[in-house]
Amino acid sequence: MAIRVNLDRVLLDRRLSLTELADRLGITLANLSVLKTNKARAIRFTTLDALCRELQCQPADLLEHVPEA
Amino acid sequence: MPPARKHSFSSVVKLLLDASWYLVALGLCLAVCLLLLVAFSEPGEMQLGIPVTFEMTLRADAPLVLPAAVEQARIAKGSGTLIVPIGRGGFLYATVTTLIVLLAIGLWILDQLCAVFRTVRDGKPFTAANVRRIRWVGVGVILGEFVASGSALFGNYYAAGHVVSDGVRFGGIPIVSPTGIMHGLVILAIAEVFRTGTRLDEDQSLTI
Repeated sequence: MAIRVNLDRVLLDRRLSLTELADRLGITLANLSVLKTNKARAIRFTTLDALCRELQCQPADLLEHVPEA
Repeated sequence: MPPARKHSFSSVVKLLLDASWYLVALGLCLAVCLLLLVAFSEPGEMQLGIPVTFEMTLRADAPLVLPAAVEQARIAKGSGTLIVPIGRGGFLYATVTTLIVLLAIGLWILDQLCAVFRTVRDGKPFTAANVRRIRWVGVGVILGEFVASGSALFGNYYAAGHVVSDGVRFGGIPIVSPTGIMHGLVILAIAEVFRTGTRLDEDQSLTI
């Protein structure tokens, strides 16, 4: 996938664990783990909005386009 | 997707499929028993129905009473079942073995459909296994039509060599039923719909 999710880096900067974020967002840990490990096929705007709100960041901080070789 | 309700349409279909499965399984057991019976004992007089196609020339032996009667007419592509008395022998073994194979294929198809309906009841019908099952059922239906035509061809060959009747000529190549082929194609199309559904379901499950 050409889009990389940098959730782990943002979580590290905020000193937050994945479990804690899952609790705050009301998203299951399994789903958040899928997102963190770049296995997700798509992300809803509502999820992105919730992530940006909780992590005090912009979508560009979470998502990165990586050109495929 | 929520599981099917207990009294939903799919449950009724599942019930019919289960009943059909038990009937075909019973038929298969009886066919195997028949094969063992003819192999290890001397059966009495038996009759066998053979599917045949024939041509028949119609002759008006009685005085024609209809004003516009046609004197020379014929049935070009008749089909029916030829009932013949048969004894113990290779033909009987071949027929019963063919019956067992056809029943086994029918049972396998019903088994696949039952498995599909189990997943429908569980609320997860869009799986790669179901796509494979439905696709094989479609292929089985189409092949079944060719097997049926083949058995009619064999029946014609047997009838032409063993039965003599004035005005009736057995033979010709039986036509594969376009309706049966169409049914198979419809099932294959449904398999493709399931394949797309499976991909969409996977996408949906990985959308966060």
